[in-house]
Amino acid sequence: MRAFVKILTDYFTSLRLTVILLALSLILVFFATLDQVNLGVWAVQQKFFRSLFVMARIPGTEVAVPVFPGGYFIGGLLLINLIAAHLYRFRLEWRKAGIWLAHLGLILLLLGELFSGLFQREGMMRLDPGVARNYAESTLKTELAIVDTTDPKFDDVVAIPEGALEQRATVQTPRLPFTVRPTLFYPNSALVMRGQAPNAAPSPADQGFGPQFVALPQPVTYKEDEQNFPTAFVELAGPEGRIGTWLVSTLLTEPQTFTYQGHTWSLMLRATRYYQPFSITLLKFSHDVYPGTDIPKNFSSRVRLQAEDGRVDREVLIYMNNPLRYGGFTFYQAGYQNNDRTSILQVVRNPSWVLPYISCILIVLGLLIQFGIHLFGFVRKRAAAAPAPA
Amino acid sequence: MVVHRRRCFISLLSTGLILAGCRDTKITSYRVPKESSDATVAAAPAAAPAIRWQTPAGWQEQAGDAARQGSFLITGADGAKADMSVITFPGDVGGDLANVNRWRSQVQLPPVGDADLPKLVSAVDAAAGSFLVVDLLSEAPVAGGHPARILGAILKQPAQTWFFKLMGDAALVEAQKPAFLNFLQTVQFSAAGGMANTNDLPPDARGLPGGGALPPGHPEIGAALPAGGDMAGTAVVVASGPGLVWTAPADWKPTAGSAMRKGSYAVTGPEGTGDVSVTAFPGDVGGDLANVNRWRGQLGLPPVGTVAEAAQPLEVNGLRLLVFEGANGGQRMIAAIVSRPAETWFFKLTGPDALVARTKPAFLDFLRTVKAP
Repeated sequence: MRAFVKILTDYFTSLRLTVILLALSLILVFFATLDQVNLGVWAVQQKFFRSLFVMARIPGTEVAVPVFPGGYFIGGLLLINLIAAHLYRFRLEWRKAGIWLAHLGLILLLLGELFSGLFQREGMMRLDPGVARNYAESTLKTELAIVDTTDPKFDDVVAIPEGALEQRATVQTPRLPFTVRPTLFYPNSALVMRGQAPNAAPSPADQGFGPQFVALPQPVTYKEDEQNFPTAFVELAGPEGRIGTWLVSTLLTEPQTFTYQGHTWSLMLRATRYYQPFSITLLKFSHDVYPGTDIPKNFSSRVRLQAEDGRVDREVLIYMNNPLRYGGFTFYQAGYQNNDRTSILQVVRNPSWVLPYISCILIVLGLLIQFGIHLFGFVRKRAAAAPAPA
Repeated sequence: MVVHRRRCFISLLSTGLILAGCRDTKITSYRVPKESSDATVAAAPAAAPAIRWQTPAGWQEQAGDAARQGSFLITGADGAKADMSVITFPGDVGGDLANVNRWRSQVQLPPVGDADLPKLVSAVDAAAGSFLVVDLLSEAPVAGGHPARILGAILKQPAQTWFFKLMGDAALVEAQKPAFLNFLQTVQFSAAGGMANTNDLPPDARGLPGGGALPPGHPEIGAALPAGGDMAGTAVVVASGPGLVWTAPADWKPTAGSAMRKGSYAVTGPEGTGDVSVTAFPGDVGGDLANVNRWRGQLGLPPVGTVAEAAQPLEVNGLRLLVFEGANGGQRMIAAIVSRPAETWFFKLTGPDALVARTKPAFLDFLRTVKAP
């Protein structure tokens, strides 16, 4: 056991590993930059940097195999390598204080990227005049919302993320009197009226809108001006047996309702919602143009911010490069719709946004201290070695 | 001390593995107050052009939602109500027949076939383009014991379709028909698009003198515009789908595609604008005859009994193409079906008769560039 630990520590503390990992990260960045042409920024981040391995399909098959270590793998090993080197090789002494600080900055930088990848959330908030909203909607992720709409004042929501639908595992939760079994999931799809595709196979759906449509799988798009439209078939079953199969898709804009055990339920595949403990109401959206032209001069939203606990109730003006920062969220003016009445805000929540700044300060401080120590040592040595004047 | 270091090291490794194993599959449940307005979430394309209109007198603007670009409530003197919605979707959303039949089902009318469609629709030309307008009256009482009526208009753009629907009490909707048609005349699209992009703003308004840095965490500002002009006259491979590649003429302007389109171009000329679409579907999509008759139906032409009556085969780069051409009512369509082992590809040019007729040689040359990689 001791021998095994020694092999492990020798491996993880070696400088050779550091050099190899740095070389691998250079190659990774190079190929990710090239692939950005095909995939766009977001998909490249997910494929190359926010993954353990870069996966590629074997031509002619659907089998994906790892072809190169991904950002999490290389970054994770670098982090372990750096920390292990400090634990086992470096000594805690004043002369090395600069190196310790600079390396601490590096560790924070690596951790910051990991936390951003794991915890950063981005969404859009559509605001119509006078309507309070307390959630943002993801532009990339979807969820199956199963809502008990029986209560006249409240909706009881169970949200199943698309990741769970993709795994096709049966969902059973005490919040639902039935199980939900996804039988098919297309990450991108098109819906065609059944009359348009007379030779299509019978629909797996026998409830709701499903039987009217043929769902056609489409290749997943990564382009920034295109959108994926996921579709799934879900089978609901109660203790007494199967209730039915529904087709759910983001292409369907209305929820599908049904009654079960005296409760009214609605089913909808929708953009994932991120709720916040405060609401925002649009008071006025302004789209200013230069006089006599259609050239935009400024977009701004005057909103009312109200916290659930009643502690905050104020008006805020959000405009280009002047976002609202509140409760860990940042709201940017991102767009408009509906004849300039609806304002669209981009909502970003990144709990670790401050880490890169701290790490940069630490690295600069560390390098200054380390070079300073060497400089003073050199000057002192030189002064001592200088021959006394004759 | 060694034991302490070892613990640190093992905890570090396991934390890393746990974090790396995180997947977004967690099911959440919560209770929320019912929303005051319908908040159905939707599929309006992010890059849809911004739409503007002039609201007719007496139409009360309602809060839209992610699905509705515009929403109005019209109330009659006797309390009768009608609802007007403006909605957009990518692609052709199944075609005119499917959409008209969808509206017919909403007023409890039976579906019609391709042959009956031309009798139901009329074209209304406006600044925004040519609207296909239908007027559907329920035969039996639908809502509140009154007959219901739908005035619907479909506006096709290269990458998306807009739907304008006025539905409600039959008498009220009929009375509002002139206002509805006037409303269509006022519809305009801004080329800038509905998403605010700071690149649209002059540098001083963007607050970025000298290319200053964005605030921390600021989302990336839109991609740089391509340098225009220098590519004129050069034919470039501008699109390829898995399975087939093609080269589009340089003067065809690539347009925003959709999930359904593999390629999308606008062909402009003095006669108007034509739309070129490249789509692919699994299987044979009903076979050659069904597709040819579907296209004939879209043009308001009666179906044919055999494919040979309306389409000609064409051999291109080892691929067997079936080229269809038809024209009716000022519109012309040239389309090709490419049958592949497990899928069918469609290359379609539609637009004003004169434009499509003039563009035919270029379209056939375009078809000759189609090949399997």
